[in-house]
Amino acid sequence: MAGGTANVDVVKERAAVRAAIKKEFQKQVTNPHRHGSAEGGVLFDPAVQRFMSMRATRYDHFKPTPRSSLIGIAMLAVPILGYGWWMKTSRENFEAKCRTGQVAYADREFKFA
Amino acid sequence: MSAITRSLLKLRPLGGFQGLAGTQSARSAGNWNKDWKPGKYPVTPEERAAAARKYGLRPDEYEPYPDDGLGFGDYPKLPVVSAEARDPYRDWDHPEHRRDFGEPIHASADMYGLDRIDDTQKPRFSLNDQALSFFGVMAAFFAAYFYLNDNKMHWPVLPKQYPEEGKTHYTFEPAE
Repeated sequence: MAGGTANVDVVKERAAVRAAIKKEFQKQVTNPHRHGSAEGGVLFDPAVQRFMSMRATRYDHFKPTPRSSLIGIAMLAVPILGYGWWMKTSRENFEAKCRTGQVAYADREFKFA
Repeated sequence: MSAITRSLLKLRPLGGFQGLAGTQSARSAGNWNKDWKPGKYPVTPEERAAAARKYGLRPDEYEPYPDDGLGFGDYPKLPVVSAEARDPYRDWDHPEHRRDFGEPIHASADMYGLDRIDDTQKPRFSLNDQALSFFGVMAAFFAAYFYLNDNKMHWPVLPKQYPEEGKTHYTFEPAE
């Protein structure tokens, strides 16, 4: 794993654990009697399962704090509602100008024919 | 994974088929999220040690994300190393991800895959160089456009010469 440590014993212990896990992985992956049919033949990796479950259950740890609420408003509510408001008002203004004769037909961008 | 590390650290023989596959047959009902999702944020040192052990980390290198409402419970905050930054010649268990079996996965690992971004290494050109190059070239293009847009140039030409001076010649252009 990354992240530096100058302690040689820690590095050696980590390397020993990693080597043991690697050896066990090779043993299980080449085990002809291992029936992984329930998992598609793939050796079950608890780290992958924990990662997937974490991604699926992130909302369990969500708390509406001022910061999280601000992020939600700024990234979701403001763009969606603001865009809708801008579309509505700009279209309405142009429509009113056309209907009251302020915009000549020749100056229109999109003509009828 | 915790079963493996627990048994390996105690240097107990795993008994072949029973070591890992034995746990698989006990989980034949499937793996549910409620069993594998991260627990709540650990507060006491005992909870932290248990969480570190669960994820296969040492207690001194285990650090959860802060519990500020946008956290992940007790999922560890691992040092982010992009897949591209890892040694391509090491014998990984999963070389397509440059990852070993059982290695805890970073919370944003899908962003740091081989086909995605890598900002964990020193970039070949600094961000300043990149920005300067891009905006310099675009500024040069825009300057050329705006300067030449109003100064349209064409070949120097004289009016068309017709034979027999004084006679009226008709062209067939539409009346404007």
